[in-house]
Amino acid sequence: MPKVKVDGVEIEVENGTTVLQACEIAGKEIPRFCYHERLSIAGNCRMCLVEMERSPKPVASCAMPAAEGQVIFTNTEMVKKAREGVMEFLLINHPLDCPICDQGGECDLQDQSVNYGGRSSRYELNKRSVKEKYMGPLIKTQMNRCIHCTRCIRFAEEIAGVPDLGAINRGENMEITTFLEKTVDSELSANVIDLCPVGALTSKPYAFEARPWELTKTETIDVMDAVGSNIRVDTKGWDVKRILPRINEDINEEWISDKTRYACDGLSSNRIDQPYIKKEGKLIPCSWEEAFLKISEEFKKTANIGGLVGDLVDLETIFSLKNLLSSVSGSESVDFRQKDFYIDPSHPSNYLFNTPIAEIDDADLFLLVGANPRLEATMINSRIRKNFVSKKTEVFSIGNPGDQTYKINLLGDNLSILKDIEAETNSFADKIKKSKRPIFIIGESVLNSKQGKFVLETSKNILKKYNALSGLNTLHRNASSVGALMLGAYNTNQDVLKNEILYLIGADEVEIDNKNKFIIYQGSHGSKNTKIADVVLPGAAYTEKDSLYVNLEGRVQAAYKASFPPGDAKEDWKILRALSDVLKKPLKFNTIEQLRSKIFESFSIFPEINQLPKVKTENLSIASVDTLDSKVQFTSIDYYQTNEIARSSKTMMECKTAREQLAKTGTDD
Amino acid sequence: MLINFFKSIFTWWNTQTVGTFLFTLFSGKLVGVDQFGNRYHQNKDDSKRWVIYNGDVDSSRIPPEWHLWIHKTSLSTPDKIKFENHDWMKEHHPNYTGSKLAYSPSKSKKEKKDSYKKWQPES
Ligand code: SF4
Ligand code: FES
Repeated sequence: MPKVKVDGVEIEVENGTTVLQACEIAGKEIPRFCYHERLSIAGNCRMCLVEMERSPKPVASCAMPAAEGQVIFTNTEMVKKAREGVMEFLLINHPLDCPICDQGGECDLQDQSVNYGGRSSRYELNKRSVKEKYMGPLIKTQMNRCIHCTRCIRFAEEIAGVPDLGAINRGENMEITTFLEKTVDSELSANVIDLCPVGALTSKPYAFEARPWELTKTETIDVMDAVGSNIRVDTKGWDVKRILPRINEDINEEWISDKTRYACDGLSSNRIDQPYIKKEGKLIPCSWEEAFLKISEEFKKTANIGGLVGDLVDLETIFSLKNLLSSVSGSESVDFRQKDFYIDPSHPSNYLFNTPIAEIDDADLFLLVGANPRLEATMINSRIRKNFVSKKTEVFSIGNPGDQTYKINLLGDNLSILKDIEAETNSFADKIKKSKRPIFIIGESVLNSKQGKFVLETSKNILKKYNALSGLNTLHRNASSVGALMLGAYNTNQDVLKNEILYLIGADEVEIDNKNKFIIYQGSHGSKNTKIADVVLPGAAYTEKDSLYVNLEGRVQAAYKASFPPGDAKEDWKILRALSDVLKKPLKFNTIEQLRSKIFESFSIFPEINQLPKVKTENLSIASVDTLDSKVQFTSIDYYQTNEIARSSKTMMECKTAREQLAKTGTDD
Repeated sequence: MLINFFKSIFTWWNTQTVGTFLFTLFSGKLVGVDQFGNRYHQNKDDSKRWVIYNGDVDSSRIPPEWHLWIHKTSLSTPDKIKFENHDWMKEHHPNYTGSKLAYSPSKSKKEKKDSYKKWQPES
């Protein structure tokens, strides 16, 4: 452990730290452009220069390893002059168009030139100009502003795993480009916008929408997939202007997927903002009272009532619906499954992603069973890739999920391979024998009534044999699934759709035959099931309510209200609470706090907010099953259109088109 | 009457205060009354000019002619000056800021449009 002296203070640092990190540990701020903790070191901006004893020139601290006995100064005249010089050079070709630049106000170059820059420029020649580059529907380029820190290139190559960005030419003529002027083919592409320290790469959908200081920032949770990425929602007035990642080392580190970031424009279109009631086959706008009275009339006719919750529904709503239906009709018929989906809720480990996301980094073997993490849970995939890059971990797969941005060793696509592994007749058995922390990831594609039981039980058998049951992981796609499972909102012995009255909350995927049925649809966005409903109630989207979501690990996270539900729409649990009054079976809570403490009281499985549930895999029961000769059939995923918010979003539509374009070759028509 | 009396004792924003009343009584000389009923005074050597408002104390209630006089831009009272009258001139009114009559550009009067697109059952 080397000891270094920073500005007279001696500190001890870990082996392998750089001088810049050492200075940071000592509490000194070093300006930088190209250095980023999560990317490789490039050392090409020279902004991080510091003075080191016995070194005639200032050294680039980000690229210099800390060594025993170094004496570093960060506040001498030499350092000051070096920074001023670097800044002046960087600004030579920078257009200084801050007033019309979207990065203005949150720009590293702006801040650092104020803090460390010199006086005016001494450069009198013309500035160079660079042509705009096309990087797809999300990234807007203004390449005059680029300072060639190469963060974007390193991100695309190292984290996103798509070598689409690069630099051409040298010296003053250097340009960052996608080479072929094509869309960056990654679900993480928009993170380069956050990474770019200047305004060279900015957000296309957000172009000229707002200034950073006008925005109200709300820290909340994403629901586009089951990972529960931490996000910050920026609103101006009612409008959600943009969504940015929030650092959470346990979940999304500092990245988010493009869908998380850009589906937000779907929040302002296709909104249900008032109740409707069906009269003579047509949905007519009505008042809340009318809608509620109609519902209570229908509820009196039959006790055959079922509830179905959609993919973006929060804990509070599921709990309220379950309680409402059981108090009104005694019915337990509430489900979250909108398709053929095998579950075994006898033990939470059967449906959780049992490996904490952060521990994916420690794994030394992966097996994907009918899983496509790139499209189903992008942030999990970036973790797998991180592990793959740093440790060369092998990733095996049963069923071909397509390009995952890392190398996949295909074992075949017949599920009977699992039985072979169990019987140690497959070579993969040797691998898993040697492995200390194997991870199995089971996708929803194989969790159907035919294959689900076989896959789950055989996987458990294999992992049990090697004492690695904590490596059993189910990859859920929807933000509501795990929460619903924990709340017991499933119905294993009766089909919810058989009920005479159906209460749908945001359930827009399922096909419903609405003959002789009374259908209530409650949700924020219109969909095909809204049209067949008899009563439509306007609900709130995820940025418009305080609510709890459970991610695929079972972690409970709180989402906060960033704007208000539009028009007459209300928060979903409040609608159910109000309806229960009309039905004369009032639910026993009035505030969100009471509701939450009810949930936590009735279901001990829920951990504290932001904690993982304490689930022990030891006492997991395992059944033995007969071998199954059946192929993995991936259910198709239209990545940019997986939920109603994304489907309402213009940007997501553009992304979809751009990606389709990308797949075409010159000879396609 | 009595109310006005108490108002003039306890408030300064109604017509005149007791001090002004006494000062006007002893050393004031009425020089004129404008069309709104505000009364203009000066002291003996014309070193002071003041107005007693007919109602609210608000300096923007003084019409432009008397504004000249009270700020000593003109020596003589408006009735002794010949003003040109144009047909585009409007009746003087006080500053309406903060009141119901306040001006606002037509844009802000229009009802604010929804910033979201509604779902339409027929579509
Ligand atoms: S575009 Fe931005 S991130 Fe990329 S090299 Fe230029 S300044 Fe750096
Ligand atoms: S941060 Fe060290 S050279 Fe760029």
